[in-house]
Amino acid sequence: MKIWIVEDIPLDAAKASRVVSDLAKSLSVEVDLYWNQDLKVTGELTRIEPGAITGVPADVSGRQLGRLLPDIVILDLFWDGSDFRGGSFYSDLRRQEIGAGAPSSFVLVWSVKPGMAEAQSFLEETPRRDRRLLFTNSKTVPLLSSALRECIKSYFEELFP
Amino acid sequence: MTLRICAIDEIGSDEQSTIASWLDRLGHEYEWDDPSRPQHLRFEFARRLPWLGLPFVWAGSHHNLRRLLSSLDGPTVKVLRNCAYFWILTDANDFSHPALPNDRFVLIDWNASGTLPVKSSLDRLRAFPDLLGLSWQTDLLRKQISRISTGKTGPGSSVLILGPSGSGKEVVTRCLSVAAASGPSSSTMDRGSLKAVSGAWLNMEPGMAMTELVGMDRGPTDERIPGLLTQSADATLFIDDFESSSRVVQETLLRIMSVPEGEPATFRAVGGSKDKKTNAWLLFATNKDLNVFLNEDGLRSDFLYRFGSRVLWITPLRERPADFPAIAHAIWRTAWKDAIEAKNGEDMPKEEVLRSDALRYLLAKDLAWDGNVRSLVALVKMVHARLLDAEYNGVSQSSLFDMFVSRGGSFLDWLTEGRPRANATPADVQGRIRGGDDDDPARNAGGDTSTLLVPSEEAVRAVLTPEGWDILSDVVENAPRPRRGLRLRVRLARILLFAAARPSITFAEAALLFDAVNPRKILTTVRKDVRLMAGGKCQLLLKESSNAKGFRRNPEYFRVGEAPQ
Repeated sequence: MKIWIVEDIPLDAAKASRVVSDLAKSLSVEVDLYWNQDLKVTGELTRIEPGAITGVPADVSGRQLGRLLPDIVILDLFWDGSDFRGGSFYSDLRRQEIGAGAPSSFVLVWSVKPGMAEAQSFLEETPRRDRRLLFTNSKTVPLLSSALRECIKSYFEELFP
Repeated sequence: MTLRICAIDEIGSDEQSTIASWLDRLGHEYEWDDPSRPQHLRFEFARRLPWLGLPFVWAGSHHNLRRLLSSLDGPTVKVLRNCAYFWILTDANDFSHPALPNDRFVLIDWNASGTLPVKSSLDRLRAFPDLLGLSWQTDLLRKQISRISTGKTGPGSSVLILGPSGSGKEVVTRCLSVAAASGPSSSTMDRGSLKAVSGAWLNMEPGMAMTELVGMDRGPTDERIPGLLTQSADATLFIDDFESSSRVVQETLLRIMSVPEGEPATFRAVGGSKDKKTNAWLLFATNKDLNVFLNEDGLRSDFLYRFGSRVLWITPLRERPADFPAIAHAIWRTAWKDAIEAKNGEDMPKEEVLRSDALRYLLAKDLAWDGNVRSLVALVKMVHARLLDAEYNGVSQSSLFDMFVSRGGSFLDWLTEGRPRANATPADVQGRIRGGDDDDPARNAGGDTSTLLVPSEEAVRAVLTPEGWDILSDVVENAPRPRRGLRLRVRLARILLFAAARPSITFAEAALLFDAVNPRKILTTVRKDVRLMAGGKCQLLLKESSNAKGFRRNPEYFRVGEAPQ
């Protein structure tokens, strides 16, 4: 199972990585974990060990990206004051998945709820159409752990329907 | 209904073509699962086949068949042993395994040419598309319906359908009616035309009841009333809960049924002077226990004898585990169709099939299914509604079912929304009461903190008795400064909500409730909070556990006794 942590803050990425590590152990799941710090689907992708945030860059050029597309994404809704990059990432990811003929990944928004209108509208409207997009409401570790556990369960339910 | 074939190990091209020609001789639609899958994935798919609600065949060598059957879990074996529509294709016929039913033909030698038993089963399945389920009991019903509907139909060939409420008596009636429409009587009768009445409708003053049944021929022509027996003279008349009808109706029907098979019955309408004839095929149904009926309700035993071999018994759903998948899948598909129609396809998530894991989980719970298929319909629809609610995005179907069945085994239990869950986790509780993040207060700064108190209060009021609520208010009001205020209320609310869902709470669990990235950091605060509710003048909402590992709730101040645990 491939999990991407899409997060610009190393401290938060480390927390998410630890959650993935704990769940992988408790659920006996093999996880290929990647960290995307650019918040762009085609941005730099670092393969990391669950529990850590250091690793080796993965090759995301051309067709390679299709093979690395995630099953689950932990997404920060990053907003730099003018650009809602989390939303753009989500749209690009869905486009890439369609292009690669890959199933839609679970996108778990783990973020401080920003006040900007685009983010509000994204979090209110998109989940109605996409059951694979969910929001933890606040950026806490127990909520991430609980939501990620469900996503992993859903992933396996779908793998063998 | 498509027959699914799953090769559980690598089958050579010669064997594949042998199996393919065997399948072609069946004359039924079939679908091979992808034979290029790796071995371990084939096993996974094979294990899930019994949960698809479709007839299926496992094909493979003895060795792998044994491995597969030995790896099945309890619920799957339960379904398998009850299932009348699966077969094993292998290269010999001396294979056996405890997971296989030993009372029916399951094993087929793929080198042998015979396909008859499989073909006739699949033909039966195709003949009754509305009668869902693959259990041997439902298979027996299909055989009985087939036998009865191809025999003589008429008042002397009436049928009695017995079964608990919600078990599918109306469906069986429709199947009888449809099958008889193409039976030997079809040229002269209109058995496909079905008129259904409830016995309770015929429970009225005797004169009126008789008028309903046999009609009234008195007075001007335009005031004459054709009774049910005239309206259904060549059709099928279904009387549900017939025991509720008045005694005079029962007596009249008994007379009507007394004619020899294939003969019309005669009767006279109220106020009429001439005998009339009816060829109505009478189908009766009841969910009452026949012994109670005969002993207490005064039903004449000769009424029963009239039915002879035309008595159909529908077993309760819990005794037909192999019916579960097919029925649940059908309900699920209907729920999607209805939802898409209602929303005109807008703002809808992508359609999902009902997952095998969810069904397996459900059957493992061993519920009583008191309302039989009706309870299953209710549960599946409730889960489906949750699935369409964006708040439950990403939640697995098994967990959605768990949200209901963990509250208890009956429909009433499933309606207890908002009551504490027996297996609540810290994250569940946090989801219900937000705020109070002591580890990083800035994270909640974006929200309007004044609203955080209201859901906390509502949630906690729901689990505490009025006395318990007074105690909590007292605790908060008298809490030493600087611990008074919003955060304390949120923290205490979470502790109480968790304690309401489980009999006790430990310091570690309470720490987890506080969203702290590092629970150890706030353990001191947690200990103070729990002790605040467990000690001193404020009486005891929580009591120290005898094993000193935590605190258990004081049942006197919690409403949890009213909720299923």
